[in-house]
Formats: sequence, C-alpha cells, structure tokens
Amino acid sequence: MSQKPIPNGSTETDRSTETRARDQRANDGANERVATVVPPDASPARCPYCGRPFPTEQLCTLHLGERHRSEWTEEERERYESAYDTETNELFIFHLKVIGALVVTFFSFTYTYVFVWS
Amino acid sequence: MGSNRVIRSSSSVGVAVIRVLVGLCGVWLLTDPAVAHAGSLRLSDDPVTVPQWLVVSTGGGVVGASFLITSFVTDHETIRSVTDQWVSMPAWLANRSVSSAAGLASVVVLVVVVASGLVGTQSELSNFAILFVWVGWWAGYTISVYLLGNTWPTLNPWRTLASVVANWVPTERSVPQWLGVWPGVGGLLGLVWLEVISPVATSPRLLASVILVYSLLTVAGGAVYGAEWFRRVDPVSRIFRAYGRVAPFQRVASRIGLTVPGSALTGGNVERGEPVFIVAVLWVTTYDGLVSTPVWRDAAQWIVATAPIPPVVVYAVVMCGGFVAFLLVYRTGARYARRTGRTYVDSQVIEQRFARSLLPIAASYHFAHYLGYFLGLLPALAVAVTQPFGGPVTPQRLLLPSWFGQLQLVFILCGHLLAVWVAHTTAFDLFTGRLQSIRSQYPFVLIMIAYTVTSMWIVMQPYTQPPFVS
Repeated sequence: MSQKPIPNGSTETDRSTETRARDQRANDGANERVATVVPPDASPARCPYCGRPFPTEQLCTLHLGERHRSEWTEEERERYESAYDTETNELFIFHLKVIGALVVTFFSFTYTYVFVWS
Repeated sequence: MGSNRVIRSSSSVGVAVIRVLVGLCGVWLLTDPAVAHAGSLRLSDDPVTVPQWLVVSTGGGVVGASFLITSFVTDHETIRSVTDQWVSMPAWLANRSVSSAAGLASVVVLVVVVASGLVGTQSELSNFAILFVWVGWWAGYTISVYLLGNTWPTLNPWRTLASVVANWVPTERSVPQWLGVWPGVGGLLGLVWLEVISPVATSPRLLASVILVYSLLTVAGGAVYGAEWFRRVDPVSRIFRAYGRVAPFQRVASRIGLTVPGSALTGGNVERGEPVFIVAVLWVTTYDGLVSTPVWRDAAQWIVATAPIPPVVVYAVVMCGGFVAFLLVYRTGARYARRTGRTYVDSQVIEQRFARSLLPIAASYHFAHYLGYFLGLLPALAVAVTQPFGGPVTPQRLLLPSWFGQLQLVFILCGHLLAVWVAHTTAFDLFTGRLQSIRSQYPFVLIMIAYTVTSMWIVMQPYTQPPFVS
C-alpha cells in the first residue's frame, strides 16, 4: 500500500503541471481557505491562525484541534480538550436520540408489515 | 493527552462498528420481505402481497436508517482511513502505445457502426449499429465506467479524430468562460430528449445520421478547442467522467490505482458548474424512467388533448422544467445545510462539495435500469458482431429469471447507501466538530429519502411505451 496521490478528480491525461499544482494547493488548504459568508449582524469567533469565522466559540476551539495542532499554544490545547469533552457529552445525548429514532423506525415498519400481511 | 484521545476514540470506533453491523442486520431484515415481493409487482398476474406505498416507504426508511447508523462513525481518522486506501496498478496500464492502439481501434468501430447503420440490415434486433450503441455502449460500457473505471478519454474515437484534424488546422482557442457548464448540460438534456422523442433507438439509419451529426460537431469542436472541449462541452465525455468518479479504479496524473468505490467523490476541488451537471445527470436518468410509466402516459394524453401543444414540445418542456425543479431542490438543500449545521461556510461551497454524493445514486439507477436489458440482448449483440451488415441468423434473447426484477430495488438501495456514506465523509471533511458535521447532512438526507421513494416507485411501474413518440 503506497502513499495516495492527491486526487484531482480528473482522468484527463493532458492537464498541465500548472493546473495540477493548483489543484494540489487547493486541496492542501481545503478547509483553511474555504469560502464563508457571515451575516451582517453576527459577531463571529475567528480562528487566530486562518481567520475562518465560526458562529460559536466552541466550534472555533474544535477547529483549532482539527487543523492547527502543529502551531497551537498550551492554553488553546486545554480549551480544545474541554470543548472536545463537551461535544462528546452532547454527542452521547444525540446518539441516544438516534437509537430512539432507529427503534421507532424499525418497529413502525415491522408493525405496518404485520398489519398489512394479516 | 493526544494519544489518550486516539485510544478512547478507537475503542468507541469498535463499539460503533458492532452497532453498525447489528443495525445493518436489522435494516436487512426490514427490507428483505419488501424486496422479495416488490419484484412480483412487475408481473401483473401475480397476487400483490405488499402495497407499493409500503415498499417505497421502506426504501426511504432504509436510507434514513442508514444515515442514523453512519452518525455513529464520528472519528475523523476512521473516516479518512476508508477514503485513503490506494493500491498502485502496474504502469503499463497507462502506457501511451496501448492507449493509442485502443484509440485507433475505437475509430474503426465507429466507422463500422455508421456503415452498418446506413447500409446494413434495418431490423432493429439484428442490426449491429443499434445493438452496439444501445446494448454494448450505452448499457454495457457505461456500467463498466462506474463499476471499474473511466476509460473513455482513451477510447473516445472523436478525441482521436479531433487530435488528427487539429494537426492540420492549427487553431487553439478556449471556450468562453461565461458559457460555464451550460453547453454540457444543454447537450445532455438535448441528447436524452432526442432519444425519447425519436426512433433513434430502433431505426439504424436515423441512429447513423445522429452519430454523423454528433461526429461532425465533436470533431470540429475538439479540433478548435482541444482537450477543453471534451472536458467542458462534450456531454458524453462529461457524463463518463462523472460516472467514472464512482469507480474503484482511478487515474491520478499518469498513475492508475485501486481505491474504495466512491472515495474519489469525497475529496478534491470541484469546478464551479459541476453540481449543475451532476443534477442534470440525475434528472435525465429519472426522466428516462418517468416517460415510460402509465402515469406519464395519462398525463401526456390529457395535456395534448386539452392544449394545442405538439407532443415533442411537451416532452421538451417537462425535460427542462424537471431539471430546473431538481436544481432548485438541491440548491435549497445546500442553503438549509448552512442553517442546520450552524456554519458560515458559503452555500455555494456546500453545493459543490455535496454534489458528487448524488453520483452513486445516478449510477445505481442506471444499473437497475440497464443491466437486465444488457444481459437480455447480449446474445443478439454477439451474433451481430460476427455479421455487422446482417445475416441469416435469427437473434436470440436471453430470458432472465423472475427474481431478477427484485435485484433492481437492491441495486438502487446500494447506490443510496453509498451516497449516504459519501455525504457523511464530505461533511466531516468540510465542517468542524462532529455534531455540526452530522447536522449539516439533514437536508441532503431528506432529499435522498424523497428521491429513493420517487425512483423506486418509477422502477416498480409496468413499462409503458411513451405516448405520441416512436
């Protein structure tokens, strides 16, 4: 298994090296350079490294852990740990609801089939 | 602390995998009876045990449930490890002389197809041009493009011809930027409309003439605009490129590699107009099925009876109107994803990144629609290959077992499940955090459920000859 080259989504053989290099750059910075639109009345939290805006402070902190691990400060790392834990708790509640939804889906279909067949 | 997280998340991945397996078994139990009886709906003399609405809503339910199950896979590393699989293939596969030989061979085939259409037998079930184009190429070859890989840039005979012509006429222009993706979209809608309203699928002479006109246009365009023509304008090359992204074999620069099917749909940059073209691909496959349903027959007959509109115009208006409706629904979905995911990412970026998750759906729909047709007419094609200009042998038709119809619904479901996974991977790549990534998918999952219900309903309808057209 070798290193996967950066896919540029094209099977064309005649693309210039320049185009390929541009694709690669766009891919490397896929998330840091993503285009954003902030509503005029909002006060976004901005990433100190790439300037990407976020609607909440928690999302901004999570972004630091996903994209800027190599450059963050000790304080930012601690904030990330706590934001991550908060999200894990929220995710747990969310997954409980998901299990509920799955059970409801499963049984409503089962009962419908039983009803239709009988 | 960092490694601690990894350990914690990998154990939760184990739990998630078990949950996914248990869930899938549940989902399978849920679908199996429906699928088993759905096939019988096509046979009018069989008793119908499950009403159609229940079968199609089960399809929608399975897609929704699969989204709920994938929401347990939240570890970025795990998701990336699926997409990052890559096994390099031997270099001779991308060898220049092999590809030029293949390109030349396909030019010869093109000439034989046109000649057979013009002077060969005019019986549709033994004519080489009809069988080769519709059974061999549009059904069989297209299946190979999304199940194996996109070989069209190598095989495309018009590309070879255009490069030869370009040597004599040294003009190098570029397609105007303001045209965007629209020539490709217009060409695709136009070709499918032509296929529906004219006997191009049954009349060898008409087929040969259409191929000749297309050849003139494509060779001229390819000679003047070069590779850009095939990348941006030519609808045939574009549709194969789109389908090829679903395939396990991918070409990156001069290397060919094997990867997990669908993983080429998740990364990379997407050109501006690509979502519009992908929505068009999805719409034309739906349209193709829609016009051969009894509901369409009744509606078209009513429209033509009440309003003095020529039937071909009705077909064109529905083609354009349906495309605009599909595009609007998708764009609205992208805008809502911004809201449900609570993100500032531009809705145009969301639109571009999620569009490719629709491709497995289009491919599975094509597969369900054409696999039976391809296998059934394969013996006739084999006979026609040996006698391109017609001969005494009566063509054989392969009879497919009765359970084959049930498989169609399974294929469509598989495509939708892959689409759910691709959307999940895309969301985790584009958005921040785990909850935001999951919530951003709500609108797309709703769209996919609605589309599953529609497409399964279409597939289950008895085939009806589209009215007013031959």
